[in-house]
Amino acid sequence: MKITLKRLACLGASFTSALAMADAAGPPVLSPAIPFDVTANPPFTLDNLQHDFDVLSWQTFVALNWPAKADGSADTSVKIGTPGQTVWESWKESYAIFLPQGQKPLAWDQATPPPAACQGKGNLPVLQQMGKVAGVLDEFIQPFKTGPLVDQNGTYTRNAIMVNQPMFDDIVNKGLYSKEGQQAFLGKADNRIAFSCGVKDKQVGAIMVKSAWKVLGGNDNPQEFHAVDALVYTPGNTDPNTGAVIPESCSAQKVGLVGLHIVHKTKDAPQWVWSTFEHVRNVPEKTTPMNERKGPYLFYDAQASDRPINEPPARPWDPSKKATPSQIVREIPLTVATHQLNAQWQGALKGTVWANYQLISTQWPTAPADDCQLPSPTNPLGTPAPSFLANATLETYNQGTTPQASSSCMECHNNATTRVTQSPRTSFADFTFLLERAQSTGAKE
Amino acid sequence: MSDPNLQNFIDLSAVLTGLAADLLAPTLDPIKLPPLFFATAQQGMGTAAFSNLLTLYASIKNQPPAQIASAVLGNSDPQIAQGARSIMKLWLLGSWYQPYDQGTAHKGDTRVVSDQAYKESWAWKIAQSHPMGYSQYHFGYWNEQPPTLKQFTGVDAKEGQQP
Repeated sequence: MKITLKRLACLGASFTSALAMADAAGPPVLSPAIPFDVTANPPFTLDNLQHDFDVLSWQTFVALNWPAKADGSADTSVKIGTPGQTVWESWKESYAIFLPQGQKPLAWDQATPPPAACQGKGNLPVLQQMGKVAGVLDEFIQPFKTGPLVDQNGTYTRNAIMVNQPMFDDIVNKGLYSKEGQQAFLGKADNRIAFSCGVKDKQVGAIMVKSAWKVLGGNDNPQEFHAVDALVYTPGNTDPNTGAVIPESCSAQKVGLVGLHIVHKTKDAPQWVWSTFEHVRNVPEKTTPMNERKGPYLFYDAQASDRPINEPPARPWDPSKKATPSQIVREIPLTVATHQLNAQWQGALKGTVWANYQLISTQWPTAPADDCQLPSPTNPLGTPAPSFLANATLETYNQGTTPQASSSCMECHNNATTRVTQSPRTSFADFTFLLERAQSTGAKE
Repeated sequence: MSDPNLQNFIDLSAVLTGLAADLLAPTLDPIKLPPLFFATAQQGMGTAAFSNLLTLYASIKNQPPAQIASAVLGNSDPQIAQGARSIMKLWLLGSWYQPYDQGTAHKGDTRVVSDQAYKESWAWKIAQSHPMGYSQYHFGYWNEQPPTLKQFTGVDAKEGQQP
């Protein structure tokens, strides 16, 4: 089904009044309320809707980065930028959901013990992934397939994936955290994986957040980053065929946020809304003339412009050693409209660390299905706009505009499957690779 | 669609292919094949012949589709008739089939217009399938009945055909 003008007109009217948030055309309003859906404003052209979805991205970015209370909800008594844990940082990390032997995760409000190597080193978040490996089941223990990103200090960048409570509840309540649980759920003929698209005015839909962090050191100024103390964990590897042979390690480090995907399922975006942000100093754009690449950048050395760009480090990849810094440029420049919108929101965030972040773009479905829980049979992708989107810290090495090869959030995640690949109904994982991490309980079928 | 020539090109294409204009050129269209196909046909046919084709269409566009198709495809000007056939192939196959010698292009030359043109071309949907090398359907789809022709194209299958 296409987005119809009539349908969008209804949406625009209802959401604008219901949320009482910033009008998409008005000045930014910093609010801790996570928007339920896009506020579409007429005329409903592609450019206008892109703007509206970009506003949704910024609204969500502000709400999720709002300081959190002990229970993880937004602390409305303080402003954004106040030091402390943010709302999304209180969510569940993937390693706490998909446990060895398909064990049931601990309750939402119970902290998961860190890996053994990290125990006794403080009650800090754990960062362990080093590269995005879409569709690879063993990303968790072999995160080295597409290539790590190395900062200017020669240190590997780390990633984390968190989910919000509606998504966590869906996974737990349906037993999707284990292979056998998925088989049992999908064994019922009418069941399919369909995360919550939210209930307007009551509950936001499922949200995933993928973050990229750099260890702060050298000339890095922690004041320029959303910086936290974290346990940087590296799983051990004894197989030389899968990477450098290294011991398990864990150390407390100050890390700074450099990239942030926010993926939000809504009624009008059954393919989810894919918002991606970066630190403003990450990389130059490919089109930026050499003499204007002043930097200093976090993942590009302006003094080494003769080095090959967007190339993964040479193997073997060994996070325990200093590596040659990555030389990265952004393949698809930000649009003028995105630059303008960023300037508005960064202006509203001036004086906080969040002004140092920029929206790269928002990918959204121009032809969503009628039912947010049931994919269109002929166009399950929903014709994404823009067709391609990459974050320089998370899809570093597959930026570009080649179908099936270059980064498109929806195209890639549409290939995600469960561990029950018996039919399209049972294999479709609703745009998340997380379910491929479910391990077997060992129970006989 | 603010450009009347582009709109006429899309409407003519709808008549020639039997596919609705809003399927060929959706209101929200991030891929933007219509202007690319317009430029491809204009270059391939030559500006004058392409203009003649659109002018002809504009003069008869209120007639029934079958009459329009007959007037175009059976036109006494071979550049109009053959150019129109190449436009049909362009939408269906994503490739430009040079209909006659024009500039440096020779009759019979063929080229895929772009990766997106190939991927989005309509022959695949009419076949209730997907392009070779690209599919957005979910794992295991090959073992199931495809969606109907009407779901893909808005056009009912004829009696006796696969639905």
